[in-house]
Amino acid sequence: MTDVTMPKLSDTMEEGKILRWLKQPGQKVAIGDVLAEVETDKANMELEAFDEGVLSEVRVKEGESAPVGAVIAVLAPADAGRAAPRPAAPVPAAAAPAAAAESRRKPEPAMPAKSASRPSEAPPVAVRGEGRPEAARESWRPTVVGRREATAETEEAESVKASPRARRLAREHEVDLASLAGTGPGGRIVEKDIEAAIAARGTTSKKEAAPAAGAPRRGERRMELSRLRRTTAKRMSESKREVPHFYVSADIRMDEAVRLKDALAGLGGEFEGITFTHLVLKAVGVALTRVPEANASYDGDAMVLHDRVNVGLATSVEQGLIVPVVHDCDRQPLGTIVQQARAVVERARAGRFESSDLSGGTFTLSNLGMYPVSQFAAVINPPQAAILAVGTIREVPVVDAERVVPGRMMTVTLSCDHRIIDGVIAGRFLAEVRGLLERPLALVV
Amino acid sequence: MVRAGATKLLEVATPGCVDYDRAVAWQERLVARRLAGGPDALLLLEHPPVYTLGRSADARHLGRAGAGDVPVRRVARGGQATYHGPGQLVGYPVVALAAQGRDVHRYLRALEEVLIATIGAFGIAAERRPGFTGVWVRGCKIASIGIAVRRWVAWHGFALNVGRDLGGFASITPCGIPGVQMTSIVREGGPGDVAGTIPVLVARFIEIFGYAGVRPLAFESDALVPAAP
Repeated sequence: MTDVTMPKLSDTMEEGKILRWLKQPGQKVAIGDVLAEVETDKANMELEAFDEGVLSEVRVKEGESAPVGAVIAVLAPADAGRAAPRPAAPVPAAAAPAAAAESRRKPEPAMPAKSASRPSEAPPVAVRGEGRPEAARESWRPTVVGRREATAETEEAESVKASPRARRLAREHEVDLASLAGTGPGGRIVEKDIEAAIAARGTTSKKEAAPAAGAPRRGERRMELSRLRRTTAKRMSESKREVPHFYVSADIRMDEAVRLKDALAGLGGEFEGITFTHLVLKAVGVALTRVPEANASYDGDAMVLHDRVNVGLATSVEQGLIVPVVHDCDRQPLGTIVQQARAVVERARAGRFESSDLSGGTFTLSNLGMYPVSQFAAVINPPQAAILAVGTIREVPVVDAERVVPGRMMTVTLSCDHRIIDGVIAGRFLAEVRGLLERPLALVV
Repeated sequence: MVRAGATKLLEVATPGCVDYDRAVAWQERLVARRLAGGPDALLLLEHPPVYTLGRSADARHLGRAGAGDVPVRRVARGGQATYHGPGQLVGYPVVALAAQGRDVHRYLRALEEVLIATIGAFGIAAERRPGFTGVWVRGCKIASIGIAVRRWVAWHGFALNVGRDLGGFASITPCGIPGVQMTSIVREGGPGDVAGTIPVLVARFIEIFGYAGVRPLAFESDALVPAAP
């Protein structure tokens, strides 16, 4: 006997609905045949057989739901099944074995969850099953195969009628289902019954008195922070706590910069892959040499001015936020900055950064221009004194020589450490950045 | 969405107004091609008026419409009853979910993100409603989603209301939610032009799903003709 279980089609899927069975009890099933259609949210999945045999039993009727991992049908070996097809004995979804539901919490080789995080498609491997290369390279099949072991535990669980939500809640709060009388239809135990049982335990319950830090509430999921994210959390808290931030914004007309970027992109070569981030990097680099007070760090009774202008790029990666650094943004030609920035970000994204990639930053740039973000304020990356937050380029009416004309505007916001930067310095810095971006030829020559 | 396809191209077909059955046949071909190792593709088109019922739809959701002149189709996507007609941008992404994390819910959320970003580009704030897949503006539905998955290749897709005429919805219970109000980009103050919405949507789609770029795809008498890159 081979069990067919409710596939896990999403990390957030808890139960699925059988929309229809395409095979009926007694029918022969070949590998790759579609057994059923399963629905979760607004998606329909064709459930394929990964084993051949005869469908001997359908446990979940069309239109009913079952938890992920629950047995929804049973396949018999082809010969045995034909001789004695088990009578179809559908049980309500509510009575799906608790053991199957339980298994969701354990790594189960046949479940798709583990392969779900694969970043890319596996290369094709030897084909098993004619004409189904993609099917053959799947590391799992929707149809889960496993020997049936009807233990006493599952039998007992099966004899208690309870909704999947109720079972989950009971498990989380260690409530014995067998000790409860259900108030749902046909004596079925529902969520409310479990909640009542928990409430009845009063404050004597450990979980009630002091919910464990690691126990997520119902309707929530707890995801452990990556090391990187923990570091980010710590540093950002420190920064916001220690550094007296203030914020200064400026609107910059980007019409010329847009034309320049398009022209440079057309040239290719060293400008291959140029983005507005690169133009802003260069403008910031030059502006920092003209207003060196913004390229500084607070150090107790002193202000440390940095000779080098190394600008970090706040970059989102899968595990969190990192700031790869583009060195010497003031002195390097724009084309070199384009290539360096692309390389350093790519290395960072791939997790292959060199030690210098993340060190030596004297100023940070955070660009959300790829999103419909008009402006935002960033948190300073200590010990640096400032960070520039860049919004998207918007098409807006602008007044030009007393006429209203369409223009492209970008808003940037400088967050400053007020211990060493005053509004005047911020204003001078933004004036430089704006001048460089509005007449951007200076960035290339 | 976590992307793996950063070096992969998305093939995009924009064939204009296409009969529903023909669009299904094209999708079937694209799914077969994807299962055989071909590229991901995105069909963007309009349909002549048609009502469709998802697998879990109740025919009663069609109301009077079921007896009218507008054809009704039962389809293999998730979701309930909906209407398609001119002024609505219909998208059928044929995407291998293997490269997108093999997570059907995550894929639905990513489609919502594409639609929200597209609508947002016209200055309209759209949002999700937890438990009601689709995209909403001020409590009215602006885009519907219903997909099907075959061996981890997703097909069917979404319908974004662009133009003013939403008459086709009047006689049905869209998405099985009684009392749901429909809206569109033009009704929310944006431009009501399907053709103009397409490039915005494609840009958001490749950004959110992490494609390196787009290659045009054309259909000639139902045969696939990938244009030269």
